[in-house]
Amino acid sequence: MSRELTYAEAVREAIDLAMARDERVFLVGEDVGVYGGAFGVTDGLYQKYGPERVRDTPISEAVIAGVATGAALTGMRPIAEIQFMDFITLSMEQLVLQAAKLRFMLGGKVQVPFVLRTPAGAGTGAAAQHSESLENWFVHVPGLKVVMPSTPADAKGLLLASIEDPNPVIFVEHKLLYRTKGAVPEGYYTIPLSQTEVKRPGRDLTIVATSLMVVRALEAAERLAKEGVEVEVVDPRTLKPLDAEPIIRSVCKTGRVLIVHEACKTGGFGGELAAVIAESEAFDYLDAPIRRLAGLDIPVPYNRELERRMVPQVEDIVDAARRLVKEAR
Amino acid sequence: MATPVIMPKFGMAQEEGTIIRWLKQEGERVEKGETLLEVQTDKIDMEVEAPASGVLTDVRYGPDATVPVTTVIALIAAPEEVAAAEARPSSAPSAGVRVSPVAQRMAAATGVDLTQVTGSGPQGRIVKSDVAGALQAQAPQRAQPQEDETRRVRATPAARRLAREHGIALAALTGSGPQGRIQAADVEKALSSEKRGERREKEEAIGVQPGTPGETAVGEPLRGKRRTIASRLSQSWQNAPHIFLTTSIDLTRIDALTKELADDVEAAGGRLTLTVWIARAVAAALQRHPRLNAWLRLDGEQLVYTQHESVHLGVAVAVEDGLLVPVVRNAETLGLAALAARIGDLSARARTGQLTPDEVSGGSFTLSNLGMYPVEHFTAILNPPEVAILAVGRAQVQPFWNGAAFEPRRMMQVTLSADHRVIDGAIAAAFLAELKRLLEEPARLLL
Amino acid sequence: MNQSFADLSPERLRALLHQMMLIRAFEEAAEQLYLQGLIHGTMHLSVGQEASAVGACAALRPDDYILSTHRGHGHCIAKGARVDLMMAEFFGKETGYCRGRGGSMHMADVETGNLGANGIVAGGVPMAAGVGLSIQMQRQDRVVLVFFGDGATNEGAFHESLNLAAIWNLPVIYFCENNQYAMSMAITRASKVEKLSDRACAYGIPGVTVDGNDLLAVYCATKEAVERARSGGGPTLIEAQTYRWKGHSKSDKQRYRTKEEVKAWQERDPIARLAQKMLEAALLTENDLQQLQADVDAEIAAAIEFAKASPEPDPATIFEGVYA
Repeated sequence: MSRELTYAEAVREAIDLAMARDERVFLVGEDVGVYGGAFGVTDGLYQKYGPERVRDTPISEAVIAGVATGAALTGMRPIAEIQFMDFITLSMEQLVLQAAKLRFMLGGKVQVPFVLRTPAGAGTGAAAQHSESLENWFVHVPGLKVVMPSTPADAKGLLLASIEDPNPVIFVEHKLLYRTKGAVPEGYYTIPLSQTEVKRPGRDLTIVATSLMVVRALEAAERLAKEGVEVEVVDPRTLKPLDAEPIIRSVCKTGRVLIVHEACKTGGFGGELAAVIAESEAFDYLDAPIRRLAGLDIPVPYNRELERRMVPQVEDIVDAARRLVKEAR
Repeated sequence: MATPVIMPKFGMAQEEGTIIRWLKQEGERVEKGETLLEVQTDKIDMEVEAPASGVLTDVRYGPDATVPVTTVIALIAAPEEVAAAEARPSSAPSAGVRVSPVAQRMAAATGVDLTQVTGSGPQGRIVKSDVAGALQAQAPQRAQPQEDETRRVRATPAARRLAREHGIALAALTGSGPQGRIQAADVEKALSSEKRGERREKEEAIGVQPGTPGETAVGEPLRGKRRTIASRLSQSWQNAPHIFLTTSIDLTRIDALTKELADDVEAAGGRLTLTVWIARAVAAALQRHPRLNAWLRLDGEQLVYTQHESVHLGVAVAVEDGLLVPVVRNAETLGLAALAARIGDLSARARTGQLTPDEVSGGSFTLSNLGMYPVEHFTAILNPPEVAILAVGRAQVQPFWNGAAFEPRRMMQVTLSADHRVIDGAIAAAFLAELKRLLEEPARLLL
Repeated sequence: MNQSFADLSPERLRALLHQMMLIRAFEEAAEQLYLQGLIHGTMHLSVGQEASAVGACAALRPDDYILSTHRGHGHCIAKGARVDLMMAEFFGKETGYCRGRGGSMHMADVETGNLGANGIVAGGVPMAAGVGLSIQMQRQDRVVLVFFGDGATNEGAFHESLNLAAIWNLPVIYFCENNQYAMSMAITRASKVEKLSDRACAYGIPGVTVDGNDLLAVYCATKEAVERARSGGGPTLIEAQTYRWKGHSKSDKQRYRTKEEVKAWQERDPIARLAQKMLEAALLTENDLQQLQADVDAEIAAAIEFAKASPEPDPATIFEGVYA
């Protein structure tokens, strides 16, 4: 059975199920309790599970990450929340130098199983310090996993899989996705990490997109279909460790690939994807250069129109896809 | 320390040489300046001298091997070094060469000869960047000409893969992508047209007959001069749209003048042939129509047209195993006698294989004369990067209508081939008219 | 029972003296091995600070946790680790505590509750709050003691952790080994408070400063803090004033302090002080002391032999431990 849920509701349901199922799971972060989280994601959990398992913290991002690390190291399954992905900059040391490496540094003798949830993305008019998409920083760190769901059903299944995972997982949600709706299966289920999904099949062009850009790519594909262009939309869902095989297979089929993400282009995940494709057997099937459509290399602007232009929109994807297909026909 | 013997670069445009034979054997004692081997380049055969005295060792290429210029083909070791050299693996650098491990690995992987590399590290140690530098310096010479062409072609990886899998030459295709980029679809199109038999027809037209029953002819790969001729001519024929213009020239006055001047020219060391006359007239005509005295070359992705001030006139000479085109430099500055002497000298040395590489390159216009055969007229293929060539047929007595009656006149037909990309028909015609006039009224050559 | 030895039995005291001597012998041997080129990387020696490591750990139960620092050999031994496995880790061998992946700066022995040394100043401090929370939520009666140096008290994470442990009443003992210098930066130049334990009042928790070269003083102060934590009384900040005899690491020219200063602190040698006190109280004879030293030397020699004879990690296992 499945019903329509918003992305935020799906995340909440996953947390609820995990907490009901496993005593070790608890929630820790700023305003996650009575307030219900800055975006209302954890609404009602405080009332259900009480202050011990739904823990409000002071504004202390370093120690939120430290608490998650220390508790995970000694038998708990924390779900930490960093209120805006921007603020994760204040947690970097504990995440990158401690959580990510502890298992390796200690010769594989410990585990650090926690999930750090954080909302990313522009589009809310929150300007440059509340709109970052920093996922690729973490992709660069061995020992961390990076998950970025694009649909409510994925959000629920991937979050439950992340909570079960014995490694530190950076779980990147998107603010503009919170209110999007989709069919979500009832009950407890997991979607395995590192499993890329083809969201829409097509033969003319592969679009690999992440998070919100998957939704926009699907809309673009719908429009392009009316012009007779069949776009295949591929969603990695887990950025690290990446399941590259379906992406490579898709590019071998279509011969053209457009990579779309919201984060700034330079040093973004698209560069990694492009390299993975170029290094694979898909290279010999490329009938056009690999193209990237990504956020402009600027801080997120406040002005509505400037902010809109900074991030790829549906029409941008349609344009880029159309050009790519035309030039190779 | 051993001295390397390299495949010499005899001429500017030379990229490789084919070893004809070694005159010295491995282990043999050689003196500096002695001839070690004979090499065939794309134009001429050359002898390679020993760069040092010692013992010839480590001969890396045998007869028929085609080797990029500057590649080390053997070493000459001081006698006392021979034993040591034999004990070492051949890829190892010679004694006394200091090499970092990375540079050593890199050299082994890329085939760079470390004895040819100058080290920039401490105490002259060869480091990674030195090998990289050597590689870069060698890059243009190392590349096979065909590869070069392939690389210049804009094509997608998918198109390249398809072409590779089906043996299609990308250079022959027209790309439909941006800036002429060849797409997979272009290759597929070529493939399907091939299936329709077009390609087979083409092959038959040029005499390719795979598997003739009952015959066991042994195929032989083209080498050296022949290979160069083959590739240049097909490149020319494929790339340059040719136009041909033919005219007849009355030789009455030339013949009369020849009788007058022959002795003087001979005294100056030459022979006043029809070729000399035509050469003189062509040089003069090109001065007045310089558009034909030019090169058209591909520079990167751009076609570049360069007009020459002087006339460097190539004169085709048939030799035993092909054709040579020695070049008369600044032909417009030479009088009949000097021109005759020069052409005589070049032709003679062409037939005995004694031309220097620079004497067979750099022409700006070519003259090809088959008048010694019963050929009335013919069309020549452009000699790239030149944009025009003149084909001269046999002179013969023909009836000429003088307005009242037929009278016998010695006539000759010449055919101008021109690259239509830069030479319009009218321009070619004007040149041809000028040439005709100069030869029929040779006094004009004095103007 | 002599009043001046708290609740420690003579056997326990001898064991603690042995531990201090073992730490010193281990580090002196490590330094020699480094000079001989048998160990690579760097190391941070705690020679002169043995009483704070041993005194603090003596107040803990075997199932209590510690989080350690880059100067952590002493903590590791004091918590009960084996010197042969430590030495093997030093040599980067597969038999080492971290299978040769961590080295000196990440020495850990999870079985004896040592969750690891740390290469980052104050790196373990935020984690301590998490371990404390874990203990609290699991209704365990354990505590966690986190070692850090004077330098760590000026990291922002230090503040976040103490504050959180305070408001949540977590069973954490914040144990500052004030050895006077953060590399070259003297604590007197780096902080304006007279005692670092004064900072405790900013978090509303108890703070105490003790003579870190006096094993008994360290033990007593830690014991009190541990009892408070274990009984739900929340965290304590302890400052043990001590001194490192050696440079910060292997590349320290020690321009920032005088030889006289070093000498003055060496006269307060924590090992000699305890031995002297025990000799005076007739809890130890000179013979015993010589025997202890001989035992320690033999242990270290055996550890070195074990480390040398141990296999190197198999390069095929290089990716192991990145992910669980």
